[in-house]
Amino acid sequence: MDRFHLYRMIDLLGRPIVLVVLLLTLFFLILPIVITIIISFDPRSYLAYLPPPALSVRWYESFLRNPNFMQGLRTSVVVGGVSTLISTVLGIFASYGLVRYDFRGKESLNNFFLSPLVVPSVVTGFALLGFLSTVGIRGSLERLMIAHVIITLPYTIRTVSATLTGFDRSLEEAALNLGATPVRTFLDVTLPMIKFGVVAGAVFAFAMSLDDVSVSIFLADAFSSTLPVNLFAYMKSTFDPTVAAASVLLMGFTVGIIIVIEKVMGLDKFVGIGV
Amino acid sequence: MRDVDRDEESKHRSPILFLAPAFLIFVFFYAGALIMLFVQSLQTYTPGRIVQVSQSFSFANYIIYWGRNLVYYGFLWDSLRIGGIATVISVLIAYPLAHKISRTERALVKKTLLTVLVATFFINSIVKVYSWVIMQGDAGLINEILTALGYSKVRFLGTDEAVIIGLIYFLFPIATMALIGPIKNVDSTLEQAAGNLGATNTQVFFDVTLPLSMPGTIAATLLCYALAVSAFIIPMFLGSGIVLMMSNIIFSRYSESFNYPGGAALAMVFLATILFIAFGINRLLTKRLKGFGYG
Repeated sequence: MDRFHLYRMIDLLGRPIVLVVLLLTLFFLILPIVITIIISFDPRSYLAYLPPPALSVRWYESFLRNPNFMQGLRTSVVVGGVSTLISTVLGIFASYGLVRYDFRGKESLNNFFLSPLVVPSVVTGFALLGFLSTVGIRGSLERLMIAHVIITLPYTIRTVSATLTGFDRSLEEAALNLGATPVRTFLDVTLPMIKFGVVAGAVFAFAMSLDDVSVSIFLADAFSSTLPVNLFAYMKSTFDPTVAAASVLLMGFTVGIIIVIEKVMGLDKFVGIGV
Repeated sequence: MRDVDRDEESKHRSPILFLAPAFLIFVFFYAGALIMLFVQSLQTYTPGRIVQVSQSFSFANYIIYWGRNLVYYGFLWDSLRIGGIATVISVLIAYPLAHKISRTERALVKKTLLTVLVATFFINSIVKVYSWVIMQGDAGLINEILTALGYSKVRFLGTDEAVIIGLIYFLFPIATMALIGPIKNVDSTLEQAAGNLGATNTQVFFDVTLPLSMPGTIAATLLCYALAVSAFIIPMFLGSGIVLMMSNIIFSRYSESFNYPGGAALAMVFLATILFIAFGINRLLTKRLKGFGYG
C-alpha cells in the first residue's frame, strides 16, 4: 500500500475515532455534574449506591440554615465584587499602557503582571500571609481583597489587551485631531470598542475570585472567610450531601455567567478573547 | 496655544500614568510578599510566631529540607510527574474539541460544544473536586458499576490515578479555551489550499494545522503544566493524604506545624522550579521551533 492510500485510510478511520473521542469527552465532562445533582436530592446522610430511595431537599435546607456558609457567601460576594471592580479598572489602564505605548522592558512588565497565573497560588497565599502580617494589615476582608486583586488582574489584563490589540488606532487619533480631549477620546471611542474585553475580564475576575481556595485559606479568619474556604473546611470533617446542595447552587451561578456572556457578546466571541 | 497642545500630547505619550496604579500595587504587595518570603526562608524557626525577626540569616532551612534528605525531592518529583501525565492527556483530548469548535460550520454543534466548554470552565473547583470524590468513593458510581458487573470494589481515592483524573477534569476546559485561539489563527485558506492540492485531511492536519498552531499549543501546555504541578485542593481530597503534592506539603507547614521559615524554604524552591518551566522552557522551545521553521 502506498503512502497516499495509507493516508486515505487514516482519513476514513480518523473521522469516527475523533467523533468517539469527542462524545466520550462530553460524557466525561457532564457525568460528574449529573451525579452531583442527583446526590444533592438524596435523603441518605451517607454516600451510597444510586439511585436514591426517595427525593428530599434536606441538604439544601442544611446548607441555607448553616450560618457559616451564609457568612461565607456574603464575604465571597463582597470580596469578589470589590476586587473585580478594582482589578477591572487597573486592568483597563494597564492594558492601555501596555498595548498603546512602546517602551523598554514592556515584555518583562507584561510577564510580571501575568505571573500570578503561573506562580503556585499556595505560594502566593503563603507569601501574602507573612507580608501582610508584617506590614500590619490584619483585617481578613482587606487581606482577601488585596490577594484577589493580585490573582484576578492577569485575567482582566489579558482580555482587555486582546480586544485593544484588535482595533484600529486611527479612530482614537481622529477623535484627538478633531479636538476631543484624551479623557473624552478614551470614554467615547476607546471604551466602547473594548467593552467586550472589559466584560469578559470582569466575568473571569469574579469567577476566579469565587473559585479561589488556595490563596484565601491563608488569609481568611473565622469571621470573614469565603464560601469555598468554608466548604473546604466542611468537606475535611463531614462528607454528607450538604456540599452537593451547595454545588448545585454554585452551578446556578455558572448558568448565570453563561446567560450573561451569551446576552452581552455571545459565547463564541467570549472564548475568542480567551483565557 | 500650540505649545500647550504639544505638552498635552507628550503627557499623553507617556504610559506611566496608565501603568503606575497596577505596577505600584503589584510591586508593593506581590513582589514585596515574594521577597519577604525569601527573607523569611533565611530565618530560624521559633515555634509560635508567623514572622521571624532574628538578625542572622542562613541557608539552614534549605539544608534541612533540600540538603539533608531526599523526602522533599520525592514530593517535588511526584508533583512534576502527576502534573505532567495529567497535562499531556488533557492537551491531547482538548485538541480535537478545540479543533472542532474552531472549524465546525454547523451553528448548533458549535453552540452546544461552546456551552459545555464554558460551563465546565466556570464550574467552581470545589464542585469539581466534590463530584469526583463522589464518583470515585467506595460507594461511588464507578464502584457501583464495578460491583454490578461482578467485580470487586476498588479503592480509588488516594491513588495517583484518582488525582490524575481530577486534574484532567480541572485542566481540560482551560486547555481547550487556550487552544482555540492558536487553532483559529491558522489561516484556513492554507488548509483549503493543501486540500485542493490533493493532501488528505490527515496530511492537512499534521503538515499544516498542527505545526502552525504549535507555538500556541506549547504556551497552552506550559500554562496547564504550571497549574497542574501547583494543584492544591484536587490532591488534597482525591489523594486523601496518601498522594501529596508540593502545595499540600507547603500548606501543612502552615496548618500543622506553623513553621513559616521552613515552609518558605520549600516554597522558594518550588517557585523557582515552576518559573523555570513556565518561562524558561517556553523561551527555549519557541527559539528551537523557530529554528525548524515553525511559528
